[in-house]
This record gives sequence, C-alpha cells and structure tokens, in this order.
Amino acid sequence: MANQSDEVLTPITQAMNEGAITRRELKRLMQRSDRPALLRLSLWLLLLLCTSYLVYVSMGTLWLLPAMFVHGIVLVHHFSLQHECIHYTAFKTRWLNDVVGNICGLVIMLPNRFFRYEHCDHHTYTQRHGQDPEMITLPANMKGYFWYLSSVPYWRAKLSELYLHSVGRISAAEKKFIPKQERGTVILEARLMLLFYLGVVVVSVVQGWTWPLWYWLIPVMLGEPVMRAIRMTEHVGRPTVPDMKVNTRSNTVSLPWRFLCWNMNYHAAHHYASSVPFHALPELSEKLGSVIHTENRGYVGAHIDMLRQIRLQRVR
Amino acid sequence: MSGDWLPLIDIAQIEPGDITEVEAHGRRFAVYDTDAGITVSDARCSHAGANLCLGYFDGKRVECPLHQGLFDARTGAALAAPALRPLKMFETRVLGTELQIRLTQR
Repeated sequence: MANQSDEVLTPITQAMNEGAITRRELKRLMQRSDRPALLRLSLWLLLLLCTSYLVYVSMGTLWLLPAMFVHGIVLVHHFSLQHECIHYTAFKTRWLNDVVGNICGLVIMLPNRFFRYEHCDHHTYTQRHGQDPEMITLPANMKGYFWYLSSVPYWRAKLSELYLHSVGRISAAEKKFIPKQERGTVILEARLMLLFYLGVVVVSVVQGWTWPLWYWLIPVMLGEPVMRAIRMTEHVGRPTVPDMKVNTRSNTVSLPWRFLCWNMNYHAAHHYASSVPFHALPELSEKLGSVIHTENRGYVGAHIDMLRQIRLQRVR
Repeated sequence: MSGDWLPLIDIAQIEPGDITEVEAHGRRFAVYDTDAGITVSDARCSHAGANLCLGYFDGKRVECPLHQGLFDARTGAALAAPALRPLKMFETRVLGTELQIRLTQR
C-alpha cells in the first residue's frame, strides 16, 4: 500500500494537469450503466453456448481438440470480465460486479477478493520491480518466452497460491497489499473455492460425469496460453518505470478480440483512468491520443516487439 | 485556532451535483454537492492517498479513481474495499454566500 499520508499522483491527475482531459469529460466517461454489460453478457453466454455446441458435435472426432481450444479461448476470457468486475466498472449495480466477478473467478480459478487486492497494487506500482505483484518480466531468452506461454508457471503459481491461502498462509509479499482485516476473507475465499472444486470432482465421480473435463477443465488448460500471450502484450517489453505514458501498451485489435477482452486492449487508457467503464474506453483512448503508447499492429505486433527485445538482450 | 470557522469557497463556485476541489489553508479539500447537502472531506483517499476529486460521484457515494474504494460522501464512512478507514470529514456552515469549515475533524 502507498504511504497513507501522502497524496499519490495518479495517472489521471497527471493527464488532467497536462490538459489531455478535463474533469467534465472524465465525469461523463465515468458514468456507469448496467445495460452495456448486460447486453454484452447475453452475447457472451450465446457465444459460450455456440462454442460448447462445437465441442459437443466434435466428440469422437479429430475436431475435438480444435473445438475445445476455441471454447477454451472464450472461457479464459472470463478473466477480462472478472477484471472489469473487480474495478466495479462492468455494472453500475455494485453487487452485480461482485456476483459476476466471483463466478468468473470460479471458472478460471482466480479468487475474486484476492485478485482485487493484488490488482490494486498493480495499478499503484505498475511495472516497478518488486512492487508490482502482477508484473511479468521480459523473458531472458526464447526458452523463457515459450515456457511462460505454456502456462505451466502460471498454473503452478496459482495452484500453490490457492493451497497456501486455504491453509491460512499469506506470504510476506501478499501481506503488503492485503490488509490485516481482510486476510481472513482471502483465506475463507480460497477454502470455499477449493470446496467448490472438490464438490465438482465428487459429484462427477458419483454421477459418472465427464462433461466438466470436456467443456471446462481441458478447454481452460488449452486456452490459457492465449490468455498468457494477451496478458504479456499489456506491459511486457515496455519500460519498467512509473511513467504511465510509456510503461503500458494499448493494442489495436479487431472487433472479435475487443468483444472477448471487454475492451481491455485499450490497456494504457484503462491504467490512466481505471474508473472509466469498458464501454467508454475507446473514447477515452481517443482523447488521450498520443499521450499513451499504442501498438497499432495489435497483439502480434506487441509480440514482435517483445521478441525483438529478447533477441537484443541475447546480443548484449 | 483549528476550531475557528474558516472560509472555504463561494457557494456559487460549487459544481452542482459534483465534487469541487478546493485548495485552502495549506491543504486540499473535496466539496461534495450531495443529495443531503454540501459536505467536505479531505481530498485524499484514506487508502492510498489518491485525489478523490477525480473519482466517480453519484450524489451519495464517492469512488476512489485509483482503486475504486467506496465512501459515503455524506458521512465519510468507508463502504467497500480496499477502503477500510473513513474519510476525514469537516464541519461546515454557510455564512452569506460563503461555505466555511472548521479544521477539527467532524
């Protein structure tokens, strides 16, 4: 947590001081509404139904793996919706953010309250070594790059995090961002999550169900490398300095990707004003214009940039 | 002298239905035009010190622009994580066209 007595110069304060946006414009962009999220959520559920149907019709064929991969890409994007919910910018109705955020967390094994606290420090200390708890460092070589994309380190970290929290252990690094009064909630949340997964396993064994494997667990495992690749585009390879003008990358991507990631491709704009809901991010991004860094070649361009930097590291 | 009434802002300068930022007496204040009247708090969020004047305000509650912690702008009560401590609120009165505050916390 930041020093309690000092005022923090938030990126949006910086942008206003520099005249990039006015309070009136910001106030309009911050307006909340349930409608855009409910509409998108309806389409989201429809899409999930379609990709689940793809898995269903592919059963017993060679198409099963690609179908589960496609379905998995949608499933892992529950992260983006959960991210919007922990900022309370998905829905105007605050409790809806909590309910939907927790459901998303169950789908991708990311405890909602823990994520909220961890993410607070990510916004306070973006790209600062040892302080940003979500920081992904630029891999030292190609092996490290593909190892990260494999999602093995990610799942290992998440599983151990969940286990340790469930047995009541909060690490020293986590104690920096989880206040004492909230540690019990984080522990309870981990226990409830594990209990839920255990319940699914028990009921599946008793009932002889295999569908949680085909429609949920295997697709999530297959899709996670795509989410890892997208998460890397947000900050990896950008300067590891506090200046928001340079430490975060927005990515110009096509409509389907924008739909899936709840406009989080406008990541630099989101970091500038995290109170602006997803549906207003394109306009905020346009207003901030040249103040922020945008990768116009999209996710692929961001990875080309990262790979170039990895090669340069090797040459040095 | 902290118990004295001090001038803060002319009533006409307060943004209707919004937060007005005022720098006076060596500190920064957030003046809220709430549905229950005008209230004043320290402009710094009690969680991490961000400027609440840039937060989302719905006439009742103010949300921190950095971490979206929630406060009741009428009472200063912390309503949602990561905000756990209440805001510093100040007693106010209107004298003529002027809003005045007492620097002792309410």
